[in-house]
Amino acid sequence: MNAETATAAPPPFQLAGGVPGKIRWILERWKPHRGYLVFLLFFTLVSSGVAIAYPLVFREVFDRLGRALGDPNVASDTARRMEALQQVLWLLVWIAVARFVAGLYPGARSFLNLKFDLDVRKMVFVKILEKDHAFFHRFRTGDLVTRLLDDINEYPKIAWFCCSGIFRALDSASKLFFCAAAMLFLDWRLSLLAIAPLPIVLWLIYRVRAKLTEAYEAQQKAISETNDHLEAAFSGARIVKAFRAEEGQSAALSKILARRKQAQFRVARLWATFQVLESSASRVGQLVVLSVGGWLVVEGQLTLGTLYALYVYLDMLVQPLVDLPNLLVTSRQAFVSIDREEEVMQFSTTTRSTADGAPVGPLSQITLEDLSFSYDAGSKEDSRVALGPLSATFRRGDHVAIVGAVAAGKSTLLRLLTGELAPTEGRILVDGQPLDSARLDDYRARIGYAPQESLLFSESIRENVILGRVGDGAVDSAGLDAKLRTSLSVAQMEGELEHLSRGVDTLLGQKGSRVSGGQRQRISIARALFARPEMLLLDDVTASLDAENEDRLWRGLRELLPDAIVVSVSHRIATIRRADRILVLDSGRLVDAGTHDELATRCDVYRRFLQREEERARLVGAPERGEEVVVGLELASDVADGRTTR
Amino acid sequence: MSFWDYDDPGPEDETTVRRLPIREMLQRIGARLWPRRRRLAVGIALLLGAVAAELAAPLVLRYVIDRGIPAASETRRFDGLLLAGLLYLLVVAVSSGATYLQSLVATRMGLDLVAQIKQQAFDHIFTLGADYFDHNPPGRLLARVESDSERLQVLFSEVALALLRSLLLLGGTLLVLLLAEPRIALAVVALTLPFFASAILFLRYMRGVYARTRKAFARLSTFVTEYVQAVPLLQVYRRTPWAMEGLRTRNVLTNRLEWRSESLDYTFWSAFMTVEILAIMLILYLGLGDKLGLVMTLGTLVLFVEYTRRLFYPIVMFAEQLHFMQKAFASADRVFGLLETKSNVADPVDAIARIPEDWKEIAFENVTFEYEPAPAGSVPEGEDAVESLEHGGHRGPKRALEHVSFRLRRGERIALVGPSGGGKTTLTNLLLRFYEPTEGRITIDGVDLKRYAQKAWREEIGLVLQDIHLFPGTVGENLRVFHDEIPDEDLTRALTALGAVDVVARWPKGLATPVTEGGKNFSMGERQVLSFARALVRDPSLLVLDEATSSVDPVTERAIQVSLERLMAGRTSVVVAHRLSTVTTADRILVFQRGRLVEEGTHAELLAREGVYSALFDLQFRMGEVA
Repeated sequence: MNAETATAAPPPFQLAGGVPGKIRWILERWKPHRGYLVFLLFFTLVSSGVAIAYPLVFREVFDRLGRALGDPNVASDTARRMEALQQVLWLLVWIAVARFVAGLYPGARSFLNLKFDLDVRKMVFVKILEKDHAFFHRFRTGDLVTRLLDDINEYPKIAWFCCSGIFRALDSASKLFFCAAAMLFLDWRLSLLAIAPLPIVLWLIYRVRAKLTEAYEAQQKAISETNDHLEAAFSGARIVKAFRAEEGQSAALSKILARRKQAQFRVARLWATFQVLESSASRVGQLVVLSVGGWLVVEGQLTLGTLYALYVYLDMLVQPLVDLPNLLVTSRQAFVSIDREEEVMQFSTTTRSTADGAPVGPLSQITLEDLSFSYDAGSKEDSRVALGPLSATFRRGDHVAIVGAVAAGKSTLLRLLTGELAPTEGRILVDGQPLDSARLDDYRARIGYAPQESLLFSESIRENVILGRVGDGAVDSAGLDAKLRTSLSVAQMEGELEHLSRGVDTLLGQKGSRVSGGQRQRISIARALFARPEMLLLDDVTASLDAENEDRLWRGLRELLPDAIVVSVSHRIATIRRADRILVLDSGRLVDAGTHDELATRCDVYRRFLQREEERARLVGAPERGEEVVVGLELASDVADGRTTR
Repeated sequence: MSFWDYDDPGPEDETTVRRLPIREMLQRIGARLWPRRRRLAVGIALLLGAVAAELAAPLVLRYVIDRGIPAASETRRFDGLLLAGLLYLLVVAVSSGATYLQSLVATRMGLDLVAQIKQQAFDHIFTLGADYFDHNPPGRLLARVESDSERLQVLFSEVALALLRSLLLLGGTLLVLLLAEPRIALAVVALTLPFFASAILFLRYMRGVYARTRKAFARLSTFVTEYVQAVPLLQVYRRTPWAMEGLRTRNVLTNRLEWRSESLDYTFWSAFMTVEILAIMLILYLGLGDKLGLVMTLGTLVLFVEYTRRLFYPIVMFAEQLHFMQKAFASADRVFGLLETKSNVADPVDAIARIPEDWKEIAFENVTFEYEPAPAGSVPEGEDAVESLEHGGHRGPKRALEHVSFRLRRGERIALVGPSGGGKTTLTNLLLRFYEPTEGRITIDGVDLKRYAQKAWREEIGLVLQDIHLFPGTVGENLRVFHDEIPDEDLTRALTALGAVDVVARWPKGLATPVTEGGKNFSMGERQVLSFARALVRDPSLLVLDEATSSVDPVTERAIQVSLERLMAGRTSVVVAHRLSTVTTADRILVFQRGRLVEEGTHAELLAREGVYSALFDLQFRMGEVA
């Protein structure tokens, strides 16, 4: 078994300072919204106040009406009855208005929740934008996306907790306080009698809720189990059919479903119990109120209105008492999410500021001086081999081709040239100046890069190519369009655009789907060309172009950027032949460098490489015009390169 | 856990399946409920009891206020009052108890029903042919069997009866009010009706708002996913501030829409609840203001207040429940549609149950095969539709095999080679009878394979695929592939034959070791071994192998080669070959190109011919040494 499964997982990251540390973190988020928070606090008190006032108002209403109706003089006299009625109606109008306003209170909380959502997401995202390759190896995309989305906006995580979580608890607490105060004020003896049975019921409720949480987790597990089984069965359908395992699978599913039914039923039962307890928590107390209170009313020691008010208050008491302990549960979940965000933000990075450093002029010479690179020893980052030591010089107008088998270090070299990776030893000189002390922003403004796997977004082709670079130079929209068109034309995308219904405004699907792989590559090339770079770094971008298109691409490129340094990784002989210089890499070492003719004569590795490519071309046959060239054989190397058609 | 959790439509909701008319839908649902009618009746009876009790409570209260207390104060006797109090308690207890029991009965019924449906759906899916799996990715099947069915469960367990309850409460409340004081009741209804209508309209309007909000969130979500992946590239293009701005705009938009929907929600419902007070004011005005010439007692007043307060909540619930019913019906449609899909790969009536043990030869006689395109409407519109060229999900020529003929003799080892899309995998699919030839036939000792039962034929075959598919469970269960009757000795025997017994013995739990996450807890080599062992357990007379092409380290590769050799020793095998050792040790090699069998012979013969095979060999196997 893997060594990884044998050792325990490291403990999850935790923000320093424990719970007070988390509170400080939340207070930091609160700072920019101080004003609103004060308003919200005030609103909280209003909301509780209105809730408490409600029964009191009705008490007034009933008492006045009771007096009015009870007194035969008033009851028969229309005018005096109307007067009593009017007073009561005014009370009701006020309470209606107050009720409406108080009903907006959750909305006020929600408003701030959304602000926190934006704040925290921006905070984490901006940090992620600065990270280096080690970070992206440590944290997978899916994980980062979860932290950027779910951990922030799901209930009851960060955004909700920072506002609603805390304020709901405050609301409950204040309601509780006012409720108890009002009851004791109305009739303290009756109140105490009525509240007496509550603790027992509450204890029951808490216990049921704890069991419910447990049962809920068990249910989630059973659901997971079902999903896993179904998913495995469906994606392994061939195996199931081939091994005649249909019955066995069915029997296994039946057991899983039975377990799940039980788990779900347990949850339903506990939930129903919980609801019954919650709704009848006040019943016993209410019975006390009715019976003892009723007796008191009869004895003339209590008004009917007060009876009614106490009856309603008992009801109101339960909700906050059940809700408050929730704070412990929700806070725990929110704190875990805070830890996860901090883990990402605090992860150390080696990227330096791109605005610092010596200015970079137009590129005329790039020198690699004993350049070496290896990923951190001990990190199982890549099966890719280290690179170097490597020395070479590229001059203005050069076309350099980099060839070699898989994992020879070709892509790594390009990534060193973009400044994404920093050399472990040796250096890159840009016009005599070391790259690591140059202003990266300047340097990168002058280069264009098309990676091996084209990274496109689900926007229009136009937006994918321009990539927001509208502000570069004083170019108006017509000029921009022209630039776009030229870039696409050189990238051999123009013919393709005619087949697409909306041309340049065609929306790409997720991660660039909805267009073929070859089209994606061409868009990626166009993007690299758009800013008319002085150095072009192309990582195997012609794999899906046929010979004719590729020829046109290079010619177009030279016409558009006659002085550019072009460094291209390629497997295509036609491409390689055009190069002024070829660097042959093997397992990270520079085996030889020279022109095609020179290398064909003296370099074994190169010769073998040539032979293979020629035969590949012969085997697959000349592709028809426009048809994608599908790599013929599936080789282990091809699969590793990611070029397999499977 | 309320049905609000099911509000978000998944992508599967967009597939266009035939729509059952409501009547047929109800018929089918009724047919499933019928065997459970007794339980259903109990549930409804409990529901009626609960509703009756809940409606009665304010009546008791009125009695207490109007009669009980005055009478007691006159006679100074409390037994009447006490009785009334106890009656109230009883009524409330009945209401709670009945509700509790009713929800349990309904839940149990719903869970049973849905477990049954899921099992049936699952079993049915596996009676369908391989092409069904081609056209329906696992995600969609999962949605049918799991999510759609779950919606039905919620429908049966919660919503259906809750809907009935809301209706009864509403109806009952109105009835009592009308009986108490018809004129006031009518006034209250007149006030409530427009609000009820407005609630329905509001909810319908909000559906559009929610949909837009969800879409905005989906866009934000997509943005985050795509841009996080592309950060290094964005750094090279100095687009990080631009990306930041992109996040901000999308997030702000999403939040704005979110706020819009929430503020509308809160405002509307807050106003709605305030109408409650307006209704009470109206009651007071009419009752006391001599407008209608009535005399109203305090008790009746309290009654009206209590009932009016109880009127509003069911209205809200009712509207939501109706909406859920719609979604549940759509799910039911899809589930029933699935259950009624006919299989196109049935055995003939007189299928022969067993393959002769000593079969001698398999022959492909002029076999041609074409993949069928996906049926209309089975692929959702939008995102996944690709504009470029693809035939029904299969790249490569439409005719996957053309006029292929060859013979395979018992004991032979045959290697299939050729460029991808050439037809090798298709051939193995046909051999396994996942598909039937479009033309020509496959025979065993001269008898058409179609005459045999599919299961009979598959008994004879051991399959090893490229994707080593392991199932959740233990190693032992995987080796048995869910045939519990296979004893441990058979498993050990297979492992011994492969020389892999110590591999398993090294694990602390041996055969009982659990397989997690599709086998991630094992190394590549270990998974391969398990895959071979699985094929060997039943001692098959024919091995079909699709060799893995993923690169492994030389040590593991060596070990795999050894196991492979032991797997194939003395066994009739058909191997889609990617290894040098496989082709050189094959008795015969079949070379496929674009669906045709272009060359046939031994390794030496084909090399000498210097044709397609020779070129392939140089390419593939020679370069393998360099890389």
